Amino acid sequence: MSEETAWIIQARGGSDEAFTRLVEQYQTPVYNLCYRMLGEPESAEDAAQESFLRAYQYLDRYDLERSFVTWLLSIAAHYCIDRLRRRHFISVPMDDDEAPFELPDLAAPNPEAETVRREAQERIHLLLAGLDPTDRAAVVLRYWHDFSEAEIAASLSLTISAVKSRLFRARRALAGAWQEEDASLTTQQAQRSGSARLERRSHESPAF
Amino acid sequence: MNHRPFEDWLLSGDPLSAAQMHDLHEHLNACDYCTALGEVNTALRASRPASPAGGFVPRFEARLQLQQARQRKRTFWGVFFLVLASAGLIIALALRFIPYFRQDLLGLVVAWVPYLVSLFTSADVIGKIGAVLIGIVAGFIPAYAWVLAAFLSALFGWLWVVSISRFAKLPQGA
Repeated sequence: MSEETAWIIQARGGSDEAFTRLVEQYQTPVYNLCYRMLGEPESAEDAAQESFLRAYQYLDRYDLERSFVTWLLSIAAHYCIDRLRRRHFISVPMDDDEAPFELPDLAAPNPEAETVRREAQERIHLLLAGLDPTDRAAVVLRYWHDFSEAEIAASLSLTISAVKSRLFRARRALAGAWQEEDASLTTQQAQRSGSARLERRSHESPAF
Repeated sequence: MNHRPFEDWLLSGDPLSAAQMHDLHEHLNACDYCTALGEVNTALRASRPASPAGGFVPRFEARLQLQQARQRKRTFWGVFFLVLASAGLIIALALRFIPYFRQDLLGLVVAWVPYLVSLFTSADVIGKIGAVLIGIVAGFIPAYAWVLAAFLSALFGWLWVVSISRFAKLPQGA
C-alpha cells in the first residue's frame, strides 16, 4: 500500500492530519489549475481551498483503484467551470503585483531567454481567459498537468473525441488570438516609429 | 491555405524527418497562422505551475475547522428543532385524546363506533364514485390517448431519473 493510499484511508477514518498531508502534497497542482482557470490569485486560493473541502467531504466516494490526483483535479476543474459560468465573464489582472508567487529560475542559463519565456507565459495567461471554461480546463490539464486525452475525458465527464475536438478548437483560438496580438503590436510599433519621425521633422527648422 | 499536416506536426511533438522539417520550415515562412500555433504550443509546453502563497495548509486547516464547527452547529439545531417539533406534535395529539382516556371502556367504544362507521362509509362512497368516474372517462378517451399518456409518463420518468443521476454523480478520475 502506498503512503498516499494510507493517508486516504486514515482521512476516511476521520484523521484530519492525514488529509492535511494530502493537501500539503497536492496544493500546487490544485492551486495551479484554479489559477489558470480563474486568472486571479485570490479567486484561485479560494477555489483551491473549496476544492479540498469538497474532496474531504466526498472522500468516501473516491475509488481507491483510480488516481487520486486525477480525482482531485477533476473536482477542482468542475468547481472552477461552475464558478466561471456563474460569473459569465472573467477579469484577468493586468497588474504584475497580483501574480502568484513564482521563484526566479536561478538555473536559467540565459536571463534574456527567461524574460522572453515569462512574457510568453503572461500572454498565454491572458489569452486563456478568452476560451470557453471547459476548453480552458482541457488545455490546462493537458499542458500543465500532462494529462492524457483519456484522463481529461474522465476528469471533465466528456468523451475522448469531445476532448480532442475541444483541444483542437482551443489551440486554434489561442493561435488566432496570438496572431492578432502580433499584428496589432507590429502596427503599434510602426505607428510609434512613424510619429517619432514626424516629431523629429517638425522640430527641424527649415533655416538650418 | 491548407494547414494540414503542419498543424499536426506542430502539436504532436513527435520527431520529424529531414524532409518533413524542410516542408514545415517552408510552410512556416509563408503562414502566419502556423507560426502563431507553433509559438503558442511552445509557450504552453514551457509553462510552469503557479504555487500558492505560503501558509496555504494552515489556512486550509483553519477553514476546515470553521466548516466542521458550522456543520456541528447546523446538526445540533436541526436535531433540536426536530425533537421540539416531534414533542409538540405528540403533546398536541395527546391533549386531543385526554378526554377519551377519562371515560370507561364502554363509553370509549360508544364514542368511537359512530366515528369509525362514518369513516368507513365515506371511504366506500368515495371509492364507488371514483370507479364510476373512471368508467365514464375510459369510455370517451380513445385507446391511443392512453398509450400516448403512458409513453409520456415513461419518458418523463426516464428524464427525471437521468437528470437526477447526472446531478448526483461526482466526477471520478481515470
